[in-house]
Amino acid sequence: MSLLDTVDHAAATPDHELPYGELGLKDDEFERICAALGRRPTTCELAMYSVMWSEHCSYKSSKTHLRQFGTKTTDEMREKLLVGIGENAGVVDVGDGWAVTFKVESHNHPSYVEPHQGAATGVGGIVRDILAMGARPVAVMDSLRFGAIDHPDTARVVPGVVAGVGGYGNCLGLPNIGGEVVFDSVYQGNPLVNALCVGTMRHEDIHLANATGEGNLVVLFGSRTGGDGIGGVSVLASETFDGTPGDGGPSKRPAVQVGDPVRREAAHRVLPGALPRRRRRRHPGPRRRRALLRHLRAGLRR
Amino acid sequence: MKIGVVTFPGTLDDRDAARAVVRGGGEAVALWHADADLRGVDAVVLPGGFSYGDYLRAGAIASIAPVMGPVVEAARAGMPVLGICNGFQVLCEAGLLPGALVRNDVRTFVCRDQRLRVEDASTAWTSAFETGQEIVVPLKNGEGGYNADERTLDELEGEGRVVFRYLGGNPNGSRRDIAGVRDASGRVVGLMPHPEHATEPGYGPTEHGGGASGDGTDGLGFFTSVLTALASA
Repeated sequence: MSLLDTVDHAAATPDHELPYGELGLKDDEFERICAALGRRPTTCELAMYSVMWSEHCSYKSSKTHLRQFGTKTTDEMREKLLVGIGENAGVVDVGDGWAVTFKVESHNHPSYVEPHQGAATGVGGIVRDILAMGARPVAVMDSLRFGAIDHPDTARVVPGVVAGVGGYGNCLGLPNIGGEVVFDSVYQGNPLVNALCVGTMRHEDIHLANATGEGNLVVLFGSRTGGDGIGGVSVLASETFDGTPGDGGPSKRPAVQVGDPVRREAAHRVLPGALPRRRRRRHPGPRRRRALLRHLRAGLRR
Repeated sequence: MKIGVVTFPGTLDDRDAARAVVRGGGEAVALWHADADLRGVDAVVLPGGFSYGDYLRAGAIASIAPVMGPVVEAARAGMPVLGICNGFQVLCEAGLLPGALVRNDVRTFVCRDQRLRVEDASTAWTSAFETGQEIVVPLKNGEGGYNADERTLDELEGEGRVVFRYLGGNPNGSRRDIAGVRDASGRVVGLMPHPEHATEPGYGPTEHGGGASGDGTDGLGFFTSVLTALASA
């Protein structure tokens, strides 16, 4: 095989084996990719498909439920709704030119695999979304579900999750203003770790994750990438854990990203100056590009 | 009077500290960790947070940041410097104050309203108080246990350099309930609790019997004291 797996090379080598299974793609999904392209994907394309078609990015199993946020929005709700479903976070008008933005997101599988970093980067992810809306994050909350309280694996997961949520928020100066927790054996091997972030902003500071026209500059910034978190988006979120906790625990810890809150705190200070201070009208925008950009960000370090 | 408030990467309470300076009647000047000079300020506040992510040790990296060169030099020449929480850790790491802050004995982050006794109202930052006065300000730290060897602790006690002591329970295992200390001159003061969060009516601690002010502004005295010290200097 030549050094680069180009499109021409991929077309010329249809039988070349690709590790799509390891990247979290199912057989039928790989077949659909091949059908869409009319050839096998290049290794680069495969990596991108594995990210974009992952549960983490496409919500392929949960989007039917999530859609209800859009379909069940009433006119009364829309009165105060400045930004609805489809953006990084929703925004609600609270009067006097001020707005509040909320985001809650789960980080279940990473938190099961590596409780401290999994939970910490869960907080990092939602803080990023609040920042991306142009808001200043002011507080976090958490909603947690763990397995039976007397199960040894629960004792493995709980302290790390609690320390991860609290530690990350503390490093950003974000108080954890509330939360709830339930212990039940149905969550054994699949704890639910939901983190919420609240931010405040002026109406004119709202920023949406889309852009139109050509020649736009795309700036990606964040912490340095490292050996951690590789495949985290595609492998962890799509994987089910038939797990055998207790006999060594899950083996995918390196796929969990290691949080770097001090870099995030630096981003807090950079972003308000970096974002143009003008209100953008909402455009439907090309979904693919928007999703791709958003999840390129997600693929970067939290 | 210009009071500099230093921001390191990871500093969190600089906004509140600057606000407290203004509420005390001073002019707040933002100082950046990479600054090579102090922009003509008359005093400096090192606020709380997690400078440089607390990597290595809390305050260790900040203590050798570029701005700390002139801060240390000015402090040795008599400029009032206040270190709050992470700023206290920075002052200890920089050698301006004795001792070190170690992980809380309870092993967890502690966040609560903290009652303190002002042990020394002669410093540049505490002259608005009376010795023996009790105040209540917020406390929030994971590595707030004040520690030093017995000889140093005896020296501090003997020279009256313990400025604040915890009341109503030691929150973090600090030796001899020490919440804050000063240098020999009384111009450099460091403490773990956060007076800058208690300078505005309605926002500081008023529960649990409240503090001296009764309206949550027990911390304001720090920022008026320094103006008095500068005016009389």
